Amino acid sequence: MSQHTLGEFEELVLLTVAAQHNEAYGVSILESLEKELERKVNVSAVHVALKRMEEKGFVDSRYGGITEDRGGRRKKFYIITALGKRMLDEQYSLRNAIYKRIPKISFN
Amino acid sequence: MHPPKRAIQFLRWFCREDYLEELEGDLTELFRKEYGHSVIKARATFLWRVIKYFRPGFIRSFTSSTYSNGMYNNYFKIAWRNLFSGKSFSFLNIIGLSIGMTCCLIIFQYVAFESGFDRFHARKDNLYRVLQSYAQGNDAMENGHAYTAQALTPALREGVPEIVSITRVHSENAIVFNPTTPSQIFEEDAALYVDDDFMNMFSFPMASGAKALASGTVLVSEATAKKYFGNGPIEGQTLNVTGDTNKIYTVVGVFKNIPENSHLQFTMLLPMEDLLKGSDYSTEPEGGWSWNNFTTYLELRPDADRAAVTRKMTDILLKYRGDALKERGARGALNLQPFSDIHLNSDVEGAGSIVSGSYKTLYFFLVIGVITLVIALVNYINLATARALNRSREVGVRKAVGANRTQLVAQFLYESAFTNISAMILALGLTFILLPFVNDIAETKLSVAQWLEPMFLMSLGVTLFAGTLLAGLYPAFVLSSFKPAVVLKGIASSVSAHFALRKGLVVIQFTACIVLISGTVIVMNQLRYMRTLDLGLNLEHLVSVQGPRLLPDNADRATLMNTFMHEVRQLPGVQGAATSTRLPGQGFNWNGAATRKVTDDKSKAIVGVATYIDSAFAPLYGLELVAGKEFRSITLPEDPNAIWQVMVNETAAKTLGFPKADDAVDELLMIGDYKASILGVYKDFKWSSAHQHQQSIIFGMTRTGNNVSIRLSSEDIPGTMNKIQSLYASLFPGNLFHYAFVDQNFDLQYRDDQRFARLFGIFAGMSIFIACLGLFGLVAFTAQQRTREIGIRKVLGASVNSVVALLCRDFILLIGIAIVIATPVAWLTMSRWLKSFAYRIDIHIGIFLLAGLLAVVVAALTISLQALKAARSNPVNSLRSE
Repeated sequence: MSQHTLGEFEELVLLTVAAQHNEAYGVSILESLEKELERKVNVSAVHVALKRMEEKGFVDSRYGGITEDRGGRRKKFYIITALGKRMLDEQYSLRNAIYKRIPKISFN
Repeated sequence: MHPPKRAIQFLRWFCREDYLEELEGDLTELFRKEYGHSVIKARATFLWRVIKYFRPGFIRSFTSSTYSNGMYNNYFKIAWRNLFSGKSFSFLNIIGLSIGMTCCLIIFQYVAFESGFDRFHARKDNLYRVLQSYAQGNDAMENGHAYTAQALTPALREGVPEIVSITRVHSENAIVFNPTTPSQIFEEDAALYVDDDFMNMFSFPMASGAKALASGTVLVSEATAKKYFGNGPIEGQTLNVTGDTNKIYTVVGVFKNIPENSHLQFTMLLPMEDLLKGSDYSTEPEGGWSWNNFTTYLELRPDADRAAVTRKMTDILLKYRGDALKERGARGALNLQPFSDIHLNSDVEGAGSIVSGSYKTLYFFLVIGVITLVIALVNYINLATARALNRSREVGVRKAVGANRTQLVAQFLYESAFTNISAMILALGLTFILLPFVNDIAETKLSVAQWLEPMFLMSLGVTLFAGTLLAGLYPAFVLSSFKPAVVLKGIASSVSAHFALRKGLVVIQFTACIVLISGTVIVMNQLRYMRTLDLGLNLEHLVSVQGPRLLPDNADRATLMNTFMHEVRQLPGVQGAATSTRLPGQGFNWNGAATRKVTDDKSKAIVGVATYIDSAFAPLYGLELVAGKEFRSITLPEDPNAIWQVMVNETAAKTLGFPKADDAVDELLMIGDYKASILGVYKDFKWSSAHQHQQSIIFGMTRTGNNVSIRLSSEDIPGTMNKIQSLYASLFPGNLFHYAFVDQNFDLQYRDDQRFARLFGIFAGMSIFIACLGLFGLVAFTAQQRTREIGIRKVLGASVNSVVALLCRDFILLIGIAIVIATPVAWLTMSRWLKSFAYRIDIHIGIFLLAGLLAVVVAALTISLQALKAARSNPVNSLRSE
């Protein structure tokens, strides 16, 4: 395991950031997560996860242009970094590898 | 479609700047999306989301300096952890402290209020009240009183150039009504006749109109104006006043309601010149020097020499009164009392000070408050030193990595401050909740508004500071003295080292408690004794009705009163009725009547007190005749120069020099300048409270006394009262029907004593509660320290009882010592208190035993709970961990 870990919720957020490449920001991530998970998500939780992953270097951010419906505030877009992507890949292959080892189980 | 403003402001205030742009933007966007569904819900959600960001990580740094306070953060963290690692001890500490502080806060507030009296006057430093004092023969001058004669003011104004302004004040109890609504009659018992200077020298603010007071004009307070004129125009309206003057006055101005913290309380100001022209005062004998019915206030020039002014004033008094005084073998003097001293100085008797406090009560409660707080602080010291062992490793490590002693002392003081501040916050809350109850019990008018007064804030600061130092200093030095080499080896030496000190502190705590408890018992006993004291008067079912103030034109008071008395006696349910000028418990008409045998020299005169009764009074009140005849056998002479017939009590007869009551009958007396003969002698009875020694009482006869005493039979008292009221209304139209039960009125004399007893009891209860909290903590701690010892003892066959005894023995012994110390202390202080009563209980040793027993029982209950818990625990649990 690398020294920076990825929590479950963080992983979901990171996946969403990667999926919405270049267009991911707080509200879009929140809405996509709520849709996928079919439950309410705290916007503050999303922000906390983003800040943490930015500190760990999994995501990068940049400011967008000013839009009217944000009260004159700029969007902050998040982009996955190479490190972030490698982290996701590692997680994915790790899980896949273990999953593949599951013998055929019948539940009847 | 804007998000809630307050929420945004809050977010902008606390949020880190580098996050704000993003967060605010995202939140606003979400808000706008939800806005369509429900406005209220969207706003609420927005606020809720903002609050959720209020957490570390998003909150910006509030320290502007670059100076590192990392060490303090660490102290705070450690203090916080300690608070929670010993939850029950912290709880005991904080609760005890906060109760102690609550007592203190309430008392401070009371003290601040009482000592803040009359400070709102702009020229308060130059304002004085004139005191007059006398001395007989070579005696020392008495304390002085504030009653002066009307002629004093003009004489002083003329003779003392340092006086800027001067005013007489005469209190009035008048019947007042607005001539346009004659059916609504009010009694104004707080009206004052004053000179023109009154409103100029004092700073009572006006609400409207002029403050100059000319003949025929009146000033009223806002509340009074509303009472008579509603919301209509006030200036130019008239009021019909019937009292010492009888006249229609025009309202020229309205002053703001008088603040609570003024010793002068009044609702109406009337011109002095009208009183002096239109009443008995216009024909006062001796040029207006004979009746001391006025209070004199004056303002001196700021540069005036007070001592010189006092001398000049006394010279003026002697110029006019010197001869008259010399004839009586007396000396007189005038003095000035600073304005701020009036409210609290209870040694001076004076008119006008309706609200009076006393320095003694104030200091007394201050001391009690401090004692309660100290008991709570002792808890902190005890528990902190007891738990020192738990901290010894921390101290060792801190020292090993280079902390010096000053830093460690600072750390522990910091913790003490932390506990004190938490307790103070709790105490403020408690005080806020308790204030209405305190006002109720103590009959005070304290409010939260006083918390902003500098006096109160200062005492708050002092309490916190002193509390922190007192509680923290000793534990801080003990803890910081640990040697790292010793404590890090794990040698526990500190538990027993400070045990002697803790024992000493417990003894002090319980000494204070026992003194307070026995004090309460003595105060309560004295109170009960006073109220059940045999007065020699029968006050049962006796109701007093105030006679009429207003009489129809041309009516004769005596005839009308006679009719009323006759009719009242006919009523079913009335057993008897009598009139008098004063009632028991209400003093006398003539205080300090110089009385002597006609044959004696003037200098041998004794001090008598006189009042007037009718012939039915003695049988109604159950006065017992021991010699001579009753009033009923004489008729009142028409001739005013005839010899005055009086009744006296046994004490009067004895002090006048008659060995037996029979010897006094028909003897001639001089009472003041009047010649009198003794008709009969009554057995001694108590007309005044138990504070007062038996006085030499003289009764003159009257038919027109304005207090009607009526004895009711015990059935249907309300019905009888209704009948009396309608009789009163038909005979004396235009008067207010006032009545009161005589025994209740008599008890009013003890109101201050009762209030004192209640407060005393409450503080005693509080202090013992706090002390028990501390004891509880100590026993719990001892039990915890001796877990293994108890385990081993139990394994070796000790019974639960013996273990409980083991744990309790020491503490009970301490309380025993406390009883021994407390008894003489309480004895001395309470004997001093009892000296203010002429009739008092003896202090029984039993009271101290009772107080001690109570303390032992309460303490034993507290201890045994913990001790039982420790004794009954399974030794397996305590020994397994070895």
